[in-house]
Amino acid sequence: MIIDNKSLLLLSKNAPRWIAERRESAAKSFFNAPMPSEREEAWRYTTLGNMEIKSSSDALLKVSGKCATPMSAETEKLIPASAGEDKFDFFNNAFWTSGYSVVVPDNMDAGVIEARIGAGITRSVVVLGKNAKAEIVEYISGGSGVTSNFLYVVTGENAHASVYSVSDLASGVRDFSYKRAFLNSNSSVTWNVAQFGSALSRIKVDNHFNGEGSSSRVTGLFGASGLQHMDLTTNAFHNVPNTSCTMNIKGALKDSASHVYRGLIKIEKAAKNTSSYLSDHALALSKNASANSIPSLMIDNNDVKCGHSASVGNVDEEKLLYIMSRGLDRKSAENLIVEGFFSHMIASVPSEKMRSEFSRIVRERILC
Amino acid sequence: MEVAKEILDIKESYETKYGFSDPEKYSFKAKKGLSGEMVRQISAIKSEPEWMLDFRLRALKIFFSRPMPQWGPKLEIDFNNIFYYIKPVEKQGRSWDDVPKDIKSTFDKLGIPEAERKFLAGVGAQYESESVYHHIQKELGQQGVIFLDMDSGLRECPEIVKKHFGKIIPAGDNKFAALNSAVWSGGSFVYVPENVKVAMPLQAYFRINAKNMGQFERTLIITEPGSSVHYVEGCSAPSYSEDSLHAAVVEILAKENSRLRYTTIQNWSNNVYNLVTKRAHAHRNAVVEWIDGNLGSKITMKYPSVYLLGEGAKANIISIAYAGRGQHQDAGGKAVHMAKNTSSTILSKSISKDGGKTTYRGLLRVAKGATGVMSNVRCDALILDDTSSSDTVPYMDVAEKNVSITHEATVGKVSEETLFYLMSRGLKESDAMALVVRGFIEPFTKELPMEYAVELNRLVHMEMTGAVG
Repeated sequence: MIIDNKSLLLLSKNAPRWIAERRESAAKSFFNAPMPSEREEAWRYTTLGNMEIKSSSDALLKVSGKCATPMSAETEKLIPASAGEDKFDFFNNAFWTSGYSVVVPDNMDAGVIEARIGAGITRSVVVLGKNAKAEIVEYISGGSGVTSNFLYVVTGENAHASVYSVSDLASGVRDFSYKRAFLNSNSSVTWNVAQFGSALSRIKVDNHFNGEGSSSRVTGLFGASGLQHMDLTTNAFHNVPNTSCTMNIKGALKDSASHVYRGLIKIEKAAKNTSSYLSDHALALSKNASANSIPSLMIDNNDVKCGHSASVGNVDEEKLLYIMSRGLDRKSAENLIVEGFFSHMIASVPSEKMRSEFSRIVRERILC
Repeated sequence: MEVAKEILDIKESYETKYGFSDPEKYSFKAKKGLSGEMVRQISAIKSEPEWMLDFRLRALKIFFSRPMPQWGPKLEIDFNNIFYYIKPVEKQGRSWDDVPKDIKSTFDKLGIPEAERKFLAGVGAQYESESVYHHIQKELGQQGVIFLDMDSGLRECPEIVKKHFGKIIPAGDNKFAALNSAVWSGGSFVYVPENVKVAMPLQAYFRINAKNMGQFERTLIITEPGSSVHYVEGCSAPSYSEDSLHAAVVEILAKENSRLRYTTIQNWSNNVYNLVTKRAHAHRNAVVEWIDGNLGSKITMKYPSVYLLGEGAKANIISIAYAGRGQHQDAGGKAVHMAKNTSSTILSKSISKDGGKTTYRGLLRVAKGATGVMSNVRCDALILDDTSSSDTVPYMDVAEKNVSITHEATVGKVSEETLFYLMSRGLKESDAMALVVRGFIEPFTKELPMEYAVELNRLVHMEMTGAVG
């Protein structure tokens, strides 16, 4: 698809008027907004330069499972507005071609919903009713040009969502995918996000804790090689009392790949008794790889337990030597350590199928 | 947590201890506001060489052309309503008897001459824009140690100053470094010759007295190979309702195998904007330590940094910040590793109370080729009540694989369990709280010269128990 006004008209054809108007105004904002620059805090270390957004691959979508339907004008309405939108929010909002929606009624366990997405411009939403449950598995692969695959999760009271979102993109792709959860009282969202492939990838995972007692666990994995640049952001916005969040990020970098991880815990004044932790660890496997890490805290009240830790390091020579002394060659020893580095995270993924999927991608993308 | 409100009011006694002011009897007071003409005037009064005037004028241009920082705390500074240069006396004193009575009694009240007698190797005292007293022990002078105010340094050691001035922090580094470069006056010039170890600390004390004063001291410290020195600076000002501005630049050149420790106890009154650029270059096997205590000021923005340029160089930054009512301490540290096998540790401890805000902002950078780097960054924030806040913004930028970098941060309040435990041992709640807070900042106090550590602990404790008694 070419990114221009003609495509916009085609997308709006036969659509309800309000959605056509929304696309139009988003497109206007998109065309008018300057390309984000490294001078902006949210884009530090990610250089877009004069990147042109000319075209995108047409998304392919296969979704199966209870309560799952393709995205429609009606379900698109369920997506909450989010503050702080940038050029790529407008991009997605204007040019999305498809997506899926999962609407689970109160008290229902929808089980596993699987979405296989050939990367393009997609927009998906998961809405859980009171006490509802669902496990979403999305696997995003392939693609060309500039892609953008958004996912919104809205949980009702005491609802529980698990999301496995794996990006395993084709090599030339530049991808800008934002994932956002809005949590009601006592609900929880578990995010497992993996970032692999592409030439440039920016994934952002936001949790908005809007209901008391809500909680989230975010597990992020990344692996980059060649000349890839990856940008991963995870944010926790604690707006009400008694919420908790744990974010664990791990990744490995090969060749001349670069990565920036940005994590923010923001605790509002009203959000008493918040507990929020963040840790991020990068493993540099080559001399030319570079890792940036910016884990920030913004804390506006004192009744909190909050912290973060971060590390960047390489494969420990002593460990290598030990393993090699057991008869393995250097490469296999290194691979073993890298697999070990990821294994703790992969083991925490509850679905057997997803575990083997993760392991396969790590093997293919990072080990050799 | 009611009691938290009543404790640790380090600032409460500020009024009587530091907040007094003297009548203004000055030998020269430049008009308010900033202009090329004023810069020429300062330079002329100081009879400076041509290159320094050029440097100042170039810097002024840079200052005017730069926008205010687009990040960090909001700065509302009226640059036209500031005195950029006030010369308090005609001549600097070599002994305290030469210093005018009013000014001497100010420094007496601040305990400077007493400290000098007891445990300092040299003292410099700056009042407004100029140094009023400077003295170094005779033996050190004989060994070639130079400890002068910056203006005298420029006059007496023109070659060394010209070679190094503005090289580590160029005028264009940031807007406030440019401002300092244009209107600088006073500060210290320290030169320690090869293999000379200065056993006792050198201290400089900076005092602002006038309303709407801007103080722009400029410090340059050079440690030759194998030498060592400990430099201590303190500062305070009267409490006025109008704002004052303090924008210093401190440049440090630590050559091979030398060791420098720079201790700051910043205790400006709550009407001072404290915007300071401090940077050290550490060459092979040199050790640079910033021990940075920020208690006072309205807004502080200060990130002492060390550029590790030679193999084996070490940086150690310990920073504490205390923010009470109306204060924002935006502090931290930077370590830039440019050479192999260099190491750094940054430890930051901050306490906020009564609506105060602390921010840790730091940078850890490892350049390509700098293998074998080890670095540990740790920041802990204690928020003592629910009107106060704390942010942590660390940057890590690593372009090399063979490194070991770790970072940790925690934010929280004093745990009820800890308090309860101490109280079960018979301590009052306020004493228990004081003990916890003292323990929290202990990594900082233990690095201070004993006399300062005792004073700081006494201050903390007196305020806590006094408030409850």
